[in-house]
Amino acid sequence: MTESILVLIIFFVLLVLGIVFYAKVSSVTTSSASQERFELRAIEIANTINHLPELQCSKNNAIERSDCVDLLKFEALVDTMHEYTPYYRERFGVSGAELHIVYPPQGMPPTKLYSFTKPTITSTISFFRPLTIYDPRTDENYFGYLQIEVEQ
Amino acid sequence: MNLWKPQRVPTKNAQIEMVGLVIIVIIISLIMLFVLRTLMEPQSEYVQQEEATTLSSQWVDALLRTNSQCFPHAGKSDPSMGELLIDCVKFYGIGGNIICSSSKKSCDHFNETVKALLGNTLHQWNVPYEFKVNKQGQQVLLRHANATRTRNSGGDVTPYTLPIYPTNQNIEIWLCIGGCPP
Repeated sequence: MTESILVLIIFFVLLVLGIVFYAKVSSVTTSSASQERFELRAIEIANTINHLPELQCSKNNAIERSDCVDLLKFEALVDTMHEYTPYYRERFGVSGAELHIVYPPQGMPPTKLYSFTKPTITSTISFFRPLTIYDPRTDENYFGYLQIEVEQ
Repeated sequence: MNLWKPQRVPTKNAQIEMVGLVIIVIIISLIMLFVLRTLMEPQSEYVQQEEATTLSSQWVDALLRTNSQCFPHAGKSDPSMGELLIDCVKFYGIGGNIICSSSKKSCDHFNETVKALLGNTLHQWNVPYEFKVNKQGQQVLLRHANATRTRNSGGDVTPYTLPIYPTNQNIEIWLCIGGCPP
């Protein structure tokens, strides 16, 4: 009788330990899956901003090359994004982007393209996208990068 | 001769205990298998891989198109960094044929600009890198690195090639995130 009770106790202890372990593992798996989803979404947003048709360098309405930002289009898009904030906010979620010109050194602060924030942020991923910045006014190509921050 | 020898008769209890033991062993093996499978599962590092592949190709692409600010002669157009590099490799023995307005030759101007650009971008972002330039299959002509590690940290390691006209040779430009393979 005593032996049977002991066996039952051990069995239930093992069962409880198993359930606790399974619950812990499945919660870790769920959180890592949600982190993966966030990272994929962040990459998608960064790539979309990097290749926005509103920014691409073009000649006679034909896109000349990828990874190139037209400075005049950039300046125009800053105003457009202010005007149509709900549309762009839905497209890019909680994120922000700014343009840095590195060479030739201009001594100017980076230009903010947009910044959509929310009150509570749990994590942020930053992307740096090096690109050519074309200024049609001087017909010169500068070296710069877009800094994109996606928040969760 | 001892005819009376006690015989050990297996009882039903002992059989049940053995079955219980086997069940416990099976349960523990299953738990161990589950733990090992969970621990051995590779962790995906999307951001790191994405950074490595995109950063290097976009960085080199942007560099070669950038105006060099060399201004060799008054009235002549400013060559791109790509054109300056081709001149440097073509006339490497004399430090390049193009002389910039600062009296620096193309190799020196290219080298200094690349060093500054790497410092203001990848180094500032704490990205370990190795940048090198060589003629296809020949020795390295230019190298900059901040990578203490020599192992590549993900992404494709393929050089950006630039043809040297009118020859059939190519310039290989490597920007390896984490370090280039030896």
